[in-house]
Formats: sequence, C-alpha cells, structure tokens
Amino acid sequence: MAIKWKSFPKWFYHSALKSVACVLVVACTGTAFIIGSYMDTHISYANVMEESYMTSNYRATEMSSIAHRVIRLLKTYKNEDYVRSGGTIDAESVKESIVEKYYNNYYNDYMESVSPRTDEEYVEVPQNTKAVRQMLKEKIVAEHALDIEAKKQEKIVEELQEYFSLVESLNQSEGIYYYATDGQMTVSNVSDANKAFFSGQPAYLLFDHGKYEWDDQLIDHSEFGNVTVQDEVYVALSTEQVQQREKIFMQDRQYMDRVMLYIILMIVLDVFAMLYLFFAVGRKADEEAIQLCPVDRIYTDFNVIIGGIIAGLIIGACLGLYDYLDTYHQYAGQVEQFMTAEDIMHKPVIFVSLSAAIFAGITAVLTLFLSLVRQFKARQLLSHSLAGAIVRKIWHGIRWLLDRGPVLLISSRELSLVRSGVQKVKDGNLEHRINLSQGKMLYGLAQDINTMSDGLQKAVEKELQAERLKTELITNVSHDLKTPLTSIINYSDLLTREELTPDYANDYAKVLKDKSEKLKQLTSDLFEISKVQSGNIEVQKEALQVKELIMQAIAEYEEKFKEAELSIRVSAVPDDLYIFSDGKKMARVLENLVVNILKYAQPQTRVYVDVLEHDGKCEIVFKNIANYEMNFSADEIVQRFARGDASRTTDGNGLGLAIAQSYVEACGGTFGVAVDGDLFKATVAFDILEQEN
Amino acid sequence: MEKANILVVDDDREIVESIAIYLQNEGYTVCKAYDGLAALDILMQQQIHLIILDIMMPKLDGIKATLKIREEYNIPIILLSAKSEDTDKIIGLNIGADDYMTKPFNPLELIARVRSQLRRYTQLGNIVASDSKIVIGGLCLDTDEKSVTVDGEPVRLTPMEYKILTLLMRNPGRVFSADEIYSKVWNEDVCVADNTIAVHIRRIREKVEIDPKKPKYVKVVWGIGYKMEKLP
Repeated sequence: MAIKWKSFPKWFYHSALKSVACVLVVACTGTAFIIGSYMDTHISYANVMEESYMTSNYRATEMSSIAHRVIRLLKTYKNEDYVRSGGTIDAESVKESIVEKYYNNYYNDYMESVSPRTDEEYVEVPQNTKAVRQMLKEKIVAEHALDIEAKKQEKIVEELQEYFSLVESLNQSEGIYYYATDGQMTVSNVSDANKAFFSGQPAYLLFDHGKYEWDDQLIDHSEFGNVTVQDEVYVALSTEQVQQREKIFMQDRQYMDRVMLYIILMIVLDVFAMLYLFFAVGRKADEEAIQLCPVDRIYTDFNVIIGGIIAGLIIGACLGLYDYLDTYHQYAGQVEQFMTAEDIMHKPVIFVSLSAAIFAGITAVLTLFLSLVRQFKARQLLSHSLAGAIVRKIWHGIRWLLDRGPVLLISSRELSLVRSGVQKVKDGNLEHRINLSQGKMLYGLAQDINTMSDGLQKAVEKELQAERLKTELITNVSHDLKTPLTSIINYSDLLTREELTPDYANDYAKVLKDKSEKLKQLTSDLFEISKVQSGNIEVQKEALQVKELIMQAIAEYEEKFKEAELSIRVSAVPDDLYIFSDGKKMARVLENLVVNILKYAQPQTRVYVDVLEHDGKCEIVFKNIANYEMNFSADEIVQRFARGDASRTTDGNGLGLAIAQSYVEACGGTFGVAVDGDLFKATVAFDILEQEN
Repeated sequence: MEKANILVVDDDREIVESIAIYLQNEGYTVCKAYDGLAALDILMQQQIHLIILDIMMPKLDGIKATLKIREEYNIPIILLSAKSEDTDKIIGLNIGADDYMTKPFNPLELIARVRSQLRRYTQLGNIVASDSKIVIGGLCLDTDEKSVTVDGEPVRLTPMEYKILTLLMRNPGRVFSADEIYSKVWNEDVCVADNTIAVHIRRIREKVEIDPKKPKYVKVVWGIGYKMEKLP
C-alpha cells in the first residue's frame, strides 16, 4: 500500500489536500449556518446556559405569556355569553364597513337623480356634502339592516373562535392554573381559587391589587400592562406540569448541547481547514513563486465587493430558511415541539434549494477569499486593485508631467553644466566628469554621460596600449631576427669563398647565400610594412617636383632597363608640377614600381610612364606588358603578402607593391593597380600642390 | 703598412667570429670581446687601430662604450646594430662613432668601410688642405691636378662628372636642382627633358661611394635635386 501511495507525485498530495480542505470549509460553514438558522426557531441560545427550566428565562417568558393570555381573556372576552352577545365587537365599525361597501353606488344614484335632464335646465345641486353623506348613510343603514346583522353575526363567530382557542390554549394541559378577576368578572380554571392555593404551587406568578408576587426561582417577568389596582391575576403551574416541562426542557437542552457541539466542531474544523488553505494556497510543490489563478485577474476591490454581495445573499438565504422553518412550525401548531427530520422531509423543496444556494454561495465566497489570500501572498493585494490601478495611472501621469513638462524648471546653470561637460568630452577631454548632486533634475542624464565617457576613456587607453605593444613587438622581433640573420649571411658568404668538396657543395653554398640575401630583403620589407601599417612611420612632407622625382628614380636603373631590353617612354611633365609628399618615401615607391617592371616586364617591349593632371590631381602611371600570365586580380597582387595566396610562389618578395601602397597612403595619396590582359598598370595619385610663385 | 689591430665587439659570438674571418682574410689581426667592459679592458692592454662595436650588448652597451672610448682614444669606431632607424644612426654618429652599419650587413661592405676608416686614420689623418684642394670627409678634389681621391685612392671621372662634383663640393650642403646643375655645368639655359643629370649623379656616386644606395657624400634630394653632404 505504502508503495502505491508513493507512486503519486508530490503535487498530487498538495492538490488533493487542498481540495479536501476546500470541501471541508464549504461543508462545515454551510452546515453550521443551516443548523444555526434551524435552531434559532426553538429556544434561544441563551437557554443553553440555563441550569434548569425553573430558573430559565424561557419559563419567565412562558409564565408572562400565560398571564398575558389570562388578562386578555378577562378584559376582552370576559365569558362566552358576553362574546355571543357581541360584546367584543364594535357595532359602529361593522355598520361603517357596510356603509363604505355601498356608499359609492348610492352616491352615484343620488347624483343621477338630482342632475339636470336637459342642458337648458340648471338645477341647484346641494353643496353640503356632509349632509348628503349623513342622508345617504342613514338610507344605507335602513335599507341594509339585514346585511349589517349578518356581518355582526359573522364577526361574533370569529370572536368566539378566538375565545375558544384562547381558553383551549390555557386549558389544554392539566396543571396550568389561572385565576383572574377585576372585581365583577372572574375567569379561572380552579374551583376554590384563593391566593394560598396558587402560592402553594411550585411555579407561580401573582398580581394582587397592583403588587407582583412570584416564586423564588423565577428570575424575571414582564409587567402586565393592561391591569389596574383592583385586579387580581394568579398564574401557576402544578408540580406535574413543572416536572413535565422540566423534562422537555432538559431534552431540548441536551439536543441543543449536541447541536452546539456540532457547530463548535464544524467551526474548529473550519478554522483548521482555513488555516491550512491560508498557508497552502498559491503554493505549488517545488515552486518558490506564488502561483496565481485565472480568478485572480479580478481586481481585489471588485473581489471584495462581489464577496460582500454573495455573503449578504447567504445571510439573506439563512434568514429565508429561518422564516420558512418558523412558519412551518406555526402551521404545524406545535410551538413548543421540535421539528424532526421527518417534518423537514415533508416540505423539502424550499429547504433543499435554499440550502443549496447557501452552499453555492459559501463556495463562491471561499474562492474569492482564497484569491485574496493568494494576492496578499504575492504582495499585490493593493497594487492589483482597480483603485490601485487608477492611483497608479494618476501617479504615472504626474511623473510624466514632472519628467517632461517642466523643462523650464531645470536651472540654466545645470543645463549649461551638462552641455559644457558633453562639449569637453567631445573635444577629447575624456577624463572630464559632470558633477551634479543627486537631487538635480538632470542627475540621471549626467550619470549616463559620465558612464559613456568612462567607457570611451577605457577604450582609448586600451587602443593606445595595444599600439605601444605592437610597436615594441616590431622592434624586438626585428632585433631578434636580424642578429641570427647576420650570422647566416656572413657564414654562407664565407662558405661560397671556400673550395668545397665535392664540387656540387659549392652550388649548395651559393643557394644558401642567395636565399639568405633574399631573407634579409624580406625581413627588412616586412618590418617596414608593419611599421607603416601600425602607423609608426614619420612622414616629412615637402614640395616635390614630379618631373625631377621621376627622372631621379628612372636614372637609378637606366642600365638595368637596357639590360632588360626595355625602352622607357616618359611623357612630358611640366616643370611647375609639384606635389606635397615625403621625398624618401616617394623614391622608395617609384623604386619599387621600377624594380617590379624590371622583373616582370616582357623584354623588348616599351614601358610607359605617364603623368596626368585632372581634377586637381596628379597621377603618375606606370604601364608595362607582363612577361607572364597575370591570373590574379589587382587587389590580390597588392595584398598577396597579407592574404598569402598562391601567387606568392612567383619570384620576388611580393612586398614591393604592398609597401608602395602603404607609403603612398601614409603620405596622403592613393595607389592603384589595374590588370588588363597582359597590361599591368600602377597608378600613384596625389593632389597637385599650388605653388605661390 | 703594418698590420692593423682590429677589435670586434658583439655579444653574438658567431657574428664576431665571422667578422674576424673576413678581417683575417684581409690580413688584419683581430681581437675579440663580447661585451662593452671586456672591450675597454682589451683597449687598455693592447694597441688597437679600429673598433667594430655592437650597440645592444650586456654590461656596457655600444653607445656608452663609444663615449668611454672617446674620452681617451681617437681611433675609428664603426657601430654595428640591428637598430635601423635614422634616429639611431644619428645618435651613434653624433656621440663620436665614425661609421654606422645596420645588421644584417654585407661583409664585403664592412671590410670596405674598415679599410676606408683605417686609411683615413693612418695615412690621411693630418692632411693639410691647400687652396686648390677641396676636402669633404675622405673625398678630396684637387682643382689644380683635376684629380679626385677617396680615402687616398684615386678615382677616374669623366669631364662632366668632374664638373658636377666640383660644383657640388664647392657648395657643400646646398641643394642644386637638375636644371641648375645643367645651366651651371653645360653653361646652357636649356630645359632638359630627360634624366641626363640624374644619370651623371648616379655614376659619380658609384665611383666615390662605398655603398651607392646609401651614399655618404653625394646625396639625392628626392623630387628636388642633389647636394654634397657637409662633413668635417
């Protein structure tokens, strides 16, 4: 069994327990309500506390009730003959009722009789309506004497019934004694009525010429309002009657105790179940947060109102049930007897439907109440109310107004402080911070700007540090590479000077020497280009004569051109064409381009060097026919060192064009390479420098 | 000439060794040191005619060593360094070095420079300049004899090259444009459209410079003209 129980998940127990608690609350509350309403119709709750019938309030009320009935019998009905003779009825009122009944007819008839027949005749209608009424009344009384008599007899019969019922209620059980007299009339069910007989009974209440007397166990009685000093009213219960009543009372009390016990039990269960629900509601196994249900979407204040209305309806239903049970008792005519379950079964429809309504109402109220509890736990009891929502809306509105509306309220000093702060940061003073105290309108904005400056400052510092590291790296690596390279070059050169055996070892040594020379060139180019690209290059610009520059560059390689069987064609360059650039760097650029041509130009072709001017730019263009198929794009040849693609395998270190490009760009010009079939075209462009003279 | 004693200082032993081999092949005696302090010791103990000094060395670097040596000696010092920036060279030459070579170097060039420095130190150190002689560094032009020598070695120049060199040497430091040179040497005020001057200058450099790519005397001012370096 235990195993089977365990097989249910944890949440199942939680839900099951909660359901049981809910059912318990509804059942207990409903039952308590119904029992409460039902009980109230018999003896009052106060009687539960009474020791015995004799000392109970209940007897006090009963004794007074008997006394009142006796006085009524004496004062109103006197005796049977008096009732029969119509002593209790008001003849005038009977007459009046008959008059009222017929008056309208008579009045109409009378008006008919006195009104004019034709329109021409005018007859004076009697104005005194009182006189008319008196006249009509007498006429009715005279004509309807039989009706009045019949009505009288009818009334007398009713009064007789009342009289007999009263006498019956006083005399129904043996042992209820009474005696009352007003000096002339006397009513009594005791033959030899004297005061001693009554005060000899265990329970009595006496009124003797304006003086009340009662047995010492009677705790209270009400005044007999309708009595005078010459009246004597004696009421008493015999020993048997007292005993009988005591017995019934004790039965009632036992029943009552039992019922009260039930109610208390219900309440206790209710409280426990409610406590459990209070803690368990909204919680789910393994979940921290309060779980809300769809019903929780109802605004809490709505919830309270709806709950209040339903609670009101429940109380209404209870009162309805009370009334129903009350009336049922009266119809049953057994005022002092308990209604049994069977009695209820006789007229169950109203009872059952009212009870069902009560249960349904309690269920609804419980649901709403638990929803409130959940929301209380979720700390949204106030916030999730319509009133709360409205207040929030208003508050937001005020905030909105405060935030946006009163821009004019911001002091101009504050604004200018922020503005000048932003200006300073923008101008490069990244360490500047805007100092505004916390309460200021623009405090948040100033803080945000400070945070941004912070970030910017950090980024710039990082960038600078990275740049420094890069430069250091280049310098250090440069040194570390150059030192061993020096040895390699020296020793490979020494090797080539030796007569090595076997002979082919001399060729090896020569390869070593060539390649070490190439390595030397390559490393120096590499450092050159990394220096340029990391911006660690000093550029000393001056006015350069384009013509001179080209001539000098070509002159350096004139013999080489002849050796390579290339004829060079330089376009006419105006003497006054100047550019603003670094002479040494430009010499290197042109040298690289020329060396490139010497290496890759097809022998016995012409090489063109054109200088073009347009749009304020001076373009130096080198054109040659390649001696190999250029199966790569223009970008690739310039960047092939960076990209490491296949074209590196060709002769040459491949950095010449890259360095040329870097230098040109460092000097503020643009460098371009174009490939068109076998035509290779390199272009260096600078702004033309306008000379003053 | 008696065999010169040359001190080679470098913290890289292989470099010292290789330089020593070249120098010994040329007939010089070589002393070796591997840091600045050892170099100073040897200098005190032996007669040294020239020092080849590395800059980046432990204990005492080349720059400090040069300063120390210059306090007592006027022997030629050739600095040898992996530092190839212009500023490094300028510092080296300013504190008293006679020459500056960057690593990796061509060993033959180093030998040529050594020979040049020794010649100037041993043979031409106390030359007396006359009116007819223009002396710039190791370059000497005699207008009477119409001859040019570099570190005492005669150089053959064409008449036009001689005229251009004379113009430049008479105005050391001054930059001449190609047109200027043309009008002054050829005495013609014609605008030359070709690179005649540039080619002449290059040829002069090839004859008087140890390394024409890094000329010591005749310099190309790129995009502007040419000049003779001002040297003591």
